[in-house]
Amino acid sequence: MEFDLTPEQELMVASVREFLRRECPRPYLRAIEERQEFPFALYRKFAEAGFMGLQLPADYGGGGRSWVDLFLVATELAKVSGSVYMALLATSVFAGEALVAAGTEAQKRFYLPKIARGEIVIAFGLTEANAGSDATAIRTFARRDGDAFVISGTKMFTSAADAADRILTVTRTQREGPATRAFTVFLVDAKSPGLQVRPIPKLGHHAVHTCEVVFDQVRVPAADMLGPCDRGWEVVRGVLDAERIWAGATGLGAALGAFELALAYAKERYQFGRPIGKFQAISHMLAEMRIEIEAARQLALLAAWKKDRGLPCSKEASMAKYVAAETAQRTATRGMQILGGYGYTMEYDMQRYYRESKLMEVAGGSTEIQKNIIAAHLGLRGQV
Amino acid sequence: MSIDLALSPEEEALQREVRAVAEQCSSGDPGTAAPLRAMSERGIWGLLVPAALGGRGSGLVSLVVACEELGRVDPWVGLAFGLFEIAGGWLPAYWGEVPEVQGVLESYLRGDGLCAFALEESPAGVEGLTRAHRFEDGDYLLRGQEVPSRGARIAARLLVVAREERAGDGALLAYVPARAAGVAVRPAALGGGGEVGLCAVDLEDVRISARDALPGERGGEALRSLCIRHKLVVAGVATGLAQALWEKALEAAASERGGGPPPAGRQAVQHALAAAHTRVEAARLVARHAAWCAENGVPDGLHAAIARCYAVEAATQAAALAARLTGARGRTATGVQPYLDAARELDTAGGCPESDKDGIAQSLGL
Repeated sequence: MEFDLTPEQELMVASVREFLRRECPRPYLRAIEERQEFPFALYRKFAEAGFMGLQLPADYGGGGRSWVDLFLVATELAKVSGSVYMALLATSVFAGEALVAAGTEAQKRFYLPKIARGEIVIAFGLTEANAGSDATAIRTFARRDGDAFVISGTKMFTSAADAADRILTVTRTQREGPATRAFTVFLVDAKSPGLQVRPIPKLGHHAVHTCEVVFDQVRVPAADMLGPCDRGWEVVRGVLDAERIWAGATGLGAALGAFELALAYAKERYQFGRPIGKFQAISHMLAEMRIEIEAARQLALLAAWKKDRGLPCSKEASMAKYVAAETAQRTATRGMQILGGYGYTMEYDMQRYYRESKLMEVAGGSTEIQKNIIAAHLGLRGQV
Repeated sequence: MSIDLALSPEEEALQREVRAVAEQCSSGDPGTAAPLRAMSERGIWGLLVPAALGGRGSGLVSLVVACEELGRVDPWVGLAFGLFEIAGGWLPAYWGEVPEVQGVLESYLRGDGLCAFALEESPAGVEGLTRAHRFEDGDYLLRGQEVPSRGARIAARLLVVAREERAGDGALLAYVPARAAGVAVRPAALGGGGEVGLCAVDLEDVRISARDALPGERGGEALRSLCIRHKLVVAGVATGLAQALWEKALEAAASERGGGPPPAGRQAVQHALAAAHTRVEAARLVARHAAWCAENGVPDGLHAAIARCYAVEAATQAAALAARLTGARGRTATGVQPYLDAARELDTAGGCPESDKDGIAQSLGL
């Protein structure tokens, strides 16, 4: 076994930290949240610094690095801000993964270098009003019409759809039948006639809007189909596995961010003549946070490591995602307790971790769905 | 080297060997010493002793893996094995070229010189530790009452941790023959573990040679390293125990109840099993990571404390789940009851959650 980072990985982590220190000072992070603006300039700078498309193949302009490397970078971003990790990595992880797995050579040559250069934002449209945890229940339909498809339906909670150039859209191409034989994925031009995007106000991650996307007879060339017709579920599954590994890293990062804030405060805040961290009730709370973070780190690392080796990692990704999300939420809740009244104010950032971490338990498959997946891997099928 | 979470081929081979021994020797009677004898005969012994000194030279990750495998079948044997390996193998090798101490190592590696800890703090805390009086000639006189010691019944020697009278903060580590004059070993009133279970040791004016003792700063340093290894052993055993309890919970959930459907079809049960499985996997990783840290010179005991605390909690929670799913049937000597007792015992072996959290907080600068 080996747990040490390579010198290259250490350098990469140091570089990301320096990038974040330089480009994402606290006033900037507060400003993008308050203005609720997608950080396009930061997106391009991140690419210029060579971090975008880190895990994408070098042949297509990507970094050719591993998922463990992506895990390391994602953790650092999430430590700083939920909006930052979501804005900077979602395109590369979701669309990048789908393109690598199912794209034609032409699609790869066109899109992957653009992703790596930060020239394109691609949103992922899967969820619908009545198809959330049960993603197989989607109704958005793509009807064949000559050399094109016509898409009708409504997607919900499509992150960054209003900032996107393309939307990776999951549709049904068969009215009936199992998802494995009825789904098709398209890369839809976000400026297509008939496509309407409406941001939905939410609790956190304000710089990246989640959106309702209405497809009203949107015409998409067949060339923009990603993967074979009616076989899109495999593409979706690959994206969801990647999303869960990424979510394990980002949950861990958020937990670390909240933990470091709480720890620093516990050392600075004096009550009864000593730092509150000297009281056992507080120090044990911080110790418990640290223990849970270690477990989350190891599980997230395992999922990324298995993916790098081409080993099955669906169960590990679910374990990583749910533990990291719960750890982030618990850490932020305890952090609020440690900061006391100051934690409840908007002047301290703990409230942001508190708000953002709640999404982690819900988005990308809720904790309950992750447990369903783990149970299925354990041979526990059929539920009452 | 880049991150590699797989066991090495040697570690995997060891895991298979230990699993085979543990399963072959499993008699359904917890705490028998048979697996230990088999381990010794097959050379699965002296894992922390360099090959040049006659050991296997495997390292701490291997020790944790071995403890996990034993803990899965018999947690008391796992715990005893790990502690014997530290007291009889690692410490003498660490101690250096003292003929008496090398004699401890040689007899341990032969398998006829098991060496038990007698270091756990008594209920009175540190003040209740065994006291050591130093004579002019350098020899020591040890006095202690009801010192808890696991496996002392079958041990040839005891590794006693004592506090020197009129000395500073250092600790005194000393090897004492288990049958020396003034030493009395009896099974502890409570607690399971059969032959390798917890004993109470009385030391009534036991005189030992200075060459059998490691005093002062060096003793304190050895004790700190020893405590880290102790926690790692507990983490490994607790992980194995958690795995065993999870398997028993799964088996119970999958069995039919009075003609009704198995509980495993219920989502609440499935989720509880999924959560317990996740905790076991995390405990395994955290324990191995902590072992790797200790092996690679990560300076403090932070990771060992994290591993002990997390793995024991995983075992405790798996025990609660197994108890719920097996119901009254599980509360028998052949059910999960012995495992529940073991989980409770592990909670205070090599520390306790509160002392671990104090240690972690200290590492965090609090």
